[in-house]
Amino acid sequence: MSLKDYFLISENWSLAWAIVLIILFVGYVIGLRPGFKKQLFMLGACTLTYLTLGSPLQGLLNFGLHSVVMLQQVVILMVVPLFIWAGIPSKNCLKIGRKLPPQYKNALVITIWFIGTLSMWIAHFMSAASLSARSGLAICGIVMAPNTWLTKIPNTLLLLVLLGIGILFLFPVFTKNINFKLKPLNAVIYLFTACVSCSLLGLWVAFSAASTVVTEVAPLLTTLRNPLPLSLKTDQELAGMIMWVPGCVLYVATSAHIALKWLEGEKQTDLNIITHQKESH
Amino acid sequence: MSIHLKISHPDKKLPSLKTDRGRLTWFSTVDHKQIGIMYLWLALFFFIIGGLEAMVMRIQLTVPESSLVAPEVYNQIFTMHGTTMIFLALMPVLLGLGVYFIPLMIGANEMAFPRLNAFSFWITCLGGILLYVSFFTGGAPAAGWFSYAPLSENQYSLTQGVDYYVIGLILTGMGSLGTALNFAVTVLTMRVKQMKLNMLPLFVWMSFINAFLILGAFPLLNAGLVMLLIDRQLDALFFLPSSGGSAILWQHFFWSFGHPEVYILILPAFGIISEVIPVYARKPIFGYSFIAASTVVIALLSFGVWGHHMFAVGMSNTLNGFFSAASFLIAIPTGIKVVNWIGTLYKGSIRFTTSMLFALLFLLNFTIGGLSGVSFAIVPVDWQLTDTYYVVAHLHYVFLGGTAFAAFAGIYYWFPKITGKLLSEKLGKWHCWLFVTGFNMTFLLQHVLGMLGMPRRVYTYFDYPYWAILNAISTIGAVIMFIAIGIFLWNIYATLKKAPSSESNPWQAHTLEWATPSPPNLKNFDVLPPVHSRRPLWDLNNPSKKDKKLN
Amino acid sequence: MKDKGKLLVFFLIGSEAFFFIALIIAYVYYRNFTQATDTVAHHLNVPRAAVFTCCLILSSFTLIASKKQLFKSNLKKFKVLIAITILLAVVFMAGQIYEYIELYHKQITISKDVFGSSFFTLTGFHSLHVLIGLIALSLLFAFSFGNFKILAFAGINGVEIYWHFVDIVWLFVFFFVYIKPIL
Repeated sequence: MSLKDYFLISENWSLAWAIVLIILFVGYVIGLRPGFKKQLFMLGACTLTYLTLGSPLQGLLNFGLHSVVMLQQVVILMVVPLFIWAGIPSKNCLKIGRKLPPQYKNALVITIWFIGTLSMWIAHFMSAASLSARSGLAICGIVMAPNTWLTKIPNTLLLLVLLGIGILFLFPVFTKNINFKLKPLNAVIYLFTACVSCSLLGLWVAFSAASTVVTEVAPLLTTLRNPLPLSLKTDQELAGMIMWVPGCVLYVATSAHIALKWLEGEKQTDLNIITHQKESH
Repeated sequence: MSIHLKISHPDKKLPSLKTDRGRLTWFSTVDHKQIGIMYLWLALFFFIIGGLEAMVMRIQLTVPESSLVAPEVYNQIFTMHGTTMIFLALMPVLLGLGVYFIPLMIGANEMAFPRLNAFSFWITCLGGILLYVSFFTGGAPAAGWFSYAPLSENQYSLTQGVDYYVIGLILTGMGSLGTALNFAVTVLTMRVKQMKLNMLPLFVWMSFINAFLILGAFPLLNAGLVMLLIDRQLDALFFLPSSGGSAILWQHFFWSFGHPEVYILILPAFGIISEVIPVYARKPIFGYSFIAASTVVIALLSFGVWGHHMFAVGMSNTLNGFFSAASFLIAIPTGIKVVNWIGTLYKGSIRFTTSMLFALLFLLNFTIGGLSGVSFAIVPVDWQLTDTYYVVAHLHYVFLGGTAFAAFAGIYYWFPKITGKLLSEKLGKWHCWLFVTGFNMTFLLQHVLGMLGMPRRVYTYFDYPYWAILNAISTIGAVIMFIAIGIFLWNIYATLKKAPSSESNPWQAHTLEWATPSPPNLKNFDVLPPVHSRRPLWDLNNPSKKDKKLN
Repeated sequence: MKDKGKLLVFFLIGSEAFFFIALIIAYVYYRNFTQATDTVAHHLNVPRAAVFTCCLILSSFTLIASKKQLFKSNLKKFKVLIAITILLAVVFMAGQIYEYIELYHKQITISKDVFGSSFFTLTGFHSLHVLIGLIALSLLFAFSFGNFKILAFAGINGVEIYWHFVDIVWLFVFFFVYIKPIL
């Protein structure tokens, strides 16, 4: 069947996930009472999460498509956390991490940076191994026996852990807690260095596609009954480029937003919120 | 015991060539103003040499099947023209203006590391000298300014030209890195206390962001250069496909430097324009935060688009597609800047000084260059036009029409500050109009020449339809540019001979460097005006119409 | 941060990090992206290199300790600890040189094939950076004796950051060159 038909079959869309996400969104609206713009961001986050976890994309994984794995991971690790943070109202942002002792800011920021970047590498290796085990192909030079424990880990669990890490990673950038918020230029460096790390892996994946021997041996394995016919080489190149180009563009846009707000002198509002909170206690 | 020297007297003047032992102090100086002036002279010197190389090329190409210049010599000339103009003319003029003016514009008395500053300048000189020594040791490099492997390897480049190229560029690269380190640390640590980081003049901001671009891009070039040198001198096999190496790897390394390099060459130029236009339009810059933020975007994105120089090497459509999309994206922040500059002009009361003329012509010519660049982001268009004269036209519109015009604008703007003498407006306008006319005559039609199929880097061509006439017109344009530069040099010479006459702020400009005498004393500032906005001198001179307080 | 020297060294090591990333990319490219099989990796003595790696890591710790002593003005302890640091670094360099000589005797040189080229270039540039660090450390040691003690105080922060950088780069090089081929 064609890709269009595949996406139009309603069985391929998960009802369970739709219900869960709708409940979460409604709870957010009633509980936190956010403004309209923040609601839009959160709605975007929920939609993207649904598209990643509950849409036919999940099913495409069974055909061993590397690029689908990558798309899921990029969206859930980089895009959705951005939208979630953008959707949390300021007063709730303040409460997050309030009890952390301020003198550990540098250590905390560096730890979080490493957790974030390493998780992207580890998650990719795990899913590449899992994909290799399930489809019997070498993915990026990784070959796994079919019955390893890695295949027992559900992809959804991996993605949810990534979502948590992604949200944690953006904490120093988006928190309103002045003790832990990165200064604007430092936030840009924080995001850019993560982009470099991510780009290195993406470039590895993309540029090694042309040279893996398996490409020549089994160009059609992923196309049997696969609604998205891609050769192994194109699939891997697509995966590699998806890993770094869209995510990095989004981080650059975030950096631009941070830089813009700082240049226009928005520092005052943060301080106001802090003093207001102090007074009310 | 202190490791710092004290400046004896706040009014001590800069050593001039006329005072006792004045000449020797220039060799040992660590004063940023003197080093800045030396950078500008270096740039002018190599600009003239590069220009003469260009004239030789244009004369050779005037008529088809010309045998004026032998092909081996022609290859050396175009290689050296490109390398000289980029690394020895454009980089030094932009870095030199930065070295001179960044401390002044932030209210500092020196750069953070004065000796590193001097070292950077002299090692750039050494790199330039070494590059040109190659002419006398068997032949200059002849593999193009980007020295593609395997042409640049031992079996195809038999003279030592490429080795001189590699070592020359490593040395000038070290100079650029040193200056970049200095810029970054100076801006972060030596601002006058009241000037917050978001109150910087745009030239300083652009040079600051540029410093990080240099720090990120030059190591990539150095890695490639070092591998090429080891290939050539120690018989390694990095870039030799016949022995298992990869010539494409050289291209990847070179262009992952090369693309940030073109932004390195244009960001300070954007900074100069952002200083010049508000002063001569008598308005504050429109959309400061957008210009500054878009600079950050350009810097970050510039590392991700190098593939668009390699669309024709055989990468798959998937890879090409992503690089193409990213290349379209990177055009947006530059477009935002152009809109903001035009917004500054709107409802301004404009003074058409030579500097302003160059700035306005920058807007027009750089935009043409930018548009031709974006046309390359379309992969099939690039496949047709790659390595033709269309590319030559594009790169000259952005380098000459962009960086060089901005450099001229900056020089006419800041000349009275550096020397205390105003350059002649009459000669300046002759320079400007002749240069722009010649420039467009040369390069506008080269877009057509490229579309008609004339390849780059050929020492002559057959008499295909229209090729001869277009080349002839290009050459006439080059001659007109040559005359214009002659007028410019005469202007500088005649002005320098005059007695100093200029006041500290002849243009009624807004930023801190104009609060010093012209030329500034050895110690830049004894007393600083209060800094509460992005235009401290405007606030001082117009107390009833002050800018919004930012600190 | 307002310390000019520290900022300078941070930016410098950031820049050098890009340089080493490029060299490592070249190394990884030849090993993993081409059809050729690595001819150098199985000749490398990994356990011995691991010992020298430990020396280098230990030298970072002794340097941190020596800095603490310097800022407490215990000059004697500072001199001892920094001498140990220098010694460990010299051991590391000696190990590298010994390895190079051994490989040379097996006819593995920089011009043998593309793996020889990339191995020697990558480890060679790292060794060069270690050498520069060694010279800096020796200067600090020398300054602590004479009338220029203030230079030791001024320089140790920067040298320490640089030395940690050299150490971390080695960890990456060690992983890609020695460990990964046997994984």
